Amino acid sequence: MFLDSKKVSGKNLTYTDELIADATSKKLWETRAWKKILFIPDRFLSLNQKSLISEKSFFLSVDGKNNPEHELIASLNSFQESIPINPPKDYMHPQCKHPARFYWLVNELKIDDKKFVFQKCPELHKFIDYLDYEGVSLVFSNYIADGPGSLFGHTFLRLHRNTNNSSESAILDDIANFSAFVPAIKGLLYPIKGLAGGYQGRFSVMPYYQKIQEYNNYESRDLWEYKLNLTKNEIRMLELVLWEMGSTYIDYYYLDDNCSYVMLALLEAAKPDLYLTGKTLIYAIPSDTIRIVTKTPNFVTNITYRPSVLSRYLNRMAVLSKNENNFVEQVLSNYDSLSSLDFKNCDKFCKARVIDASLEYIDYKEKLVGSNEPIIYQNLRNKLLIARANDAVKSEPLKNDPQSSPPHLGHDSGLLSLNLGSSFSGDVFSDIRFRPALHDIEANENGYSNGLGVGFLDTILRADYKNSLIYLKNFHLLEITSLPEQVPNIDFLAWHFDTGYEYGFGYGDAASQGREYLKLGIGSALFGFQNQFLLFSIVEADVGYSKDFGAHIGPTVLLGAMAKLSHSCKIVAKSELSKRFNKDRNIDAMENSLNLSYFMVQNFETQLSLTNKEGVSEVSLGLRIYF
Amino acid sequence: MIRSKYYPLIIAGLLSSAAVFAKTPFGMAGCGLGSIVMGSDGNQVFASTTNGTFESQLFGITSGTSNCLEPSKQAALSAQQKFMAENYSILSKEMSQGDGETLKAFSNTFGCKKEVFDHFASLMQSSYSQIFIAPGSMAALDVVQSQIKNNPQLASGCSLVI
Repeated sequence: MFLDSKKVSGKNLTYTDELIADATSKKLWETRAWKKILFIPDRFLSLNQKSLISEKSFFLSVDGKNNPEHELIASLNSFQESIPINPPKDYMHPQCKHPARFYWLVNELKIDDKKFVFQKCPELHKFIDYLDYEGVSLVFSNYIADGPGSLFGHTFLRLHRNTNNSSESAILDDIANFSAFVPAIKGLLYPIKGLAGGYQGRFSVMPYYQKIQEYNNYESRDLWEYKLNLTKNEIRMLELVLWEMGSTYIDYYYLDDNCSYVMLALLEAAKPDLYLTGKTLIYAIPSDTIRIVTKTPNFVTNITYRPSVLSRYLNRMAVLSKNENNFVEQVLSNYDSLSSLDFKNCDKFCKARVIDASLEYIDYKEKLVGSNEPIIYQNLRNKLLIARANDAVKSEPLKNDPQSSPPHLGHDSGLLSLNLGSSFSGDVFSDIRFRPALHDIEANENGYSNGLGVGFLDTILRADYKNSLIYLKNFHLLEITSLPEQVPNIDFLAWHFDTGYEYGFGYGDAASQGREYLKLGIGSALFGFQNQFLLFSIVEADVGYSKDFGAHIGPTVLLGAMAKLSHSCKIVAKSELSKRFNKDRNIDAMENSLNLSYFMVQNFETQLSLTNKEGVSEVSLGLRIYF
Repeated sequence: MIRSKYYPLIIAGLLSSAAVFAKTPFGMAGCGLGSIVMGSDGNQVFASTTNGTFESQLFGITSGTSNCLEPSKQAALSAQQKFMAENYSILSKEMSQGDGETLKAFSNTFGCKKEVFDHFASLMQSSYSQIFIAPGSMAALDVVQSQIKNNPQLASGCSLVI
């Protein structure tokens, strides 16, 4: 192949030979910048130099995915190729297709434009001219009020057209997103394919307002923006890398090669002296990647909060008087008869506040985006808008108190804990707990929510010193707790789901047996004192199977209380009463616990626990480490 | 990483041919991607999951920028149409309230100077009933355009009135 091209453009090749010799003497392919342009991440505890890109045509050499040296030499060779006489329809010269590599090499090797043909790339020029960004933020979409699964979050990049971070420019900015392309008809294999890399992950650039509508307005998730310290040249590199990535794909793995991980790889390509990808463990959880970025010295310059529609509603409600509160309630319950409401003792400014709060409520309930029409509240919304416009009052600026906690303050997602304890009768034990993700209500809620918990593969091993044995005490395959905080005029349901294995599930012989189980229950949660205090009750259906006792079913009542004593101290009390029936007999079960947590720093907590399970009491002291 | 001595030169070269294209003052609103994701009437509901996306979502960079760069007025018109359609529900709220960041961005699609925004916002508020008398974002946009045109202060303060 090289011999053929030599005949066509002998002059260029000579210069290319020089360039290759220069690159070889400098071993340019070993530089971090080159590897990052090829999307080779730093893998935790691995020296493997494998690019993330899955599409073969992205690489110009046969083994380019694993061999940065071959890829660099092949790139230099292809950059001097002349355009074919009859190019195929979608033809793009390698210089135009791979501008990030090209301009990097031009700079590193000081490629002389008198000796080397620089191709015209009109499409690329349009693109770069169009983007012309001046700033970049990493954006995190926070959790939904009653959606524990959303605790994992999502990240994307905001591409600022203006350097000032004023909110008015947000609407005109763009974002770069990496996401899996999932067919509309998902099929039964959807979750498996999502985990196993069965879908293609692609970059997209779109107006920020679309994401604002999707997250803030449709899903009602707060957005947290972390403005990044990138130079104009680094941003330009990011644009060129986005162009290169635009036509290719990465196999999407829900747990590791996901949106957040690829964002880190993208940032490294723009600024190779960043060390981000190597700091994730086996899996990359979006909130962890936010902490990796915020802990990089001098990299985050500013943090901005963008409220969801629900948060806007709460902020609008927070400034209302009791009288105005009543009006909101009346407006929302009277649907069609706004005219019948006499706004007694409520001037036009009061009326504006009432209407503004009501509108946020309606937009939240209707998940209003784009040019969708409200369904239940269409009539009322129209009337409110007309009344609001007729009074000609300009809205008071929205009080922008964050209704969620910024994710960088949260503990890391993995948990390792060690407890040392003793039963009241003097039997000493240790509990070792490992949970890859994510959060429970006993932990520090900074960066998370007060009443949401998700536990995945939560495993507790007990070392029983008296009998010199270690056994599996608890295994929660998946446990979800949703105790949403109160919002005026909105009722959230509290619920709990848990499936796994437990050792000891009732009085008598069941105390020394294990069982597999599944629990699902609903109930209510009552918050007070600015959400510093919580009472909840949940009634659950519980099905289980034990080898000796057999299959069983029964109700469980779960009662609990949580009190936040100070910013670093929390107490949680729980009581669980169950009855388990099978065809032969029934078993009672009771477990009470009292847990006092002290949060030392972001990733270290101590716990003092008192538990009573089927009449056996024990006390333990433990240390939780998040990683 | 990038030697600044050469880099601006390269980029200047890269951009020189792009200078012939009119620089539009607004965001990607005029581009193909938005219309694809939202549907041409802006009426498609977001079918969203945390990390999932829509199948129809194409890569804006390669497929969606070509129609951004039409002569400026045509581009402005299509940007206004798309912006109106894709932000219709928010715009109706902010127009009735006489303020808001989406309304600010909307005034931007008409090339309105910052100084006339307050005037723009109060005109939108006082014309609310006329703007939204007929259903649909295109009808609303027609009224908005004629309101701006008939207002001397805005007609002179906004450069992209169609």
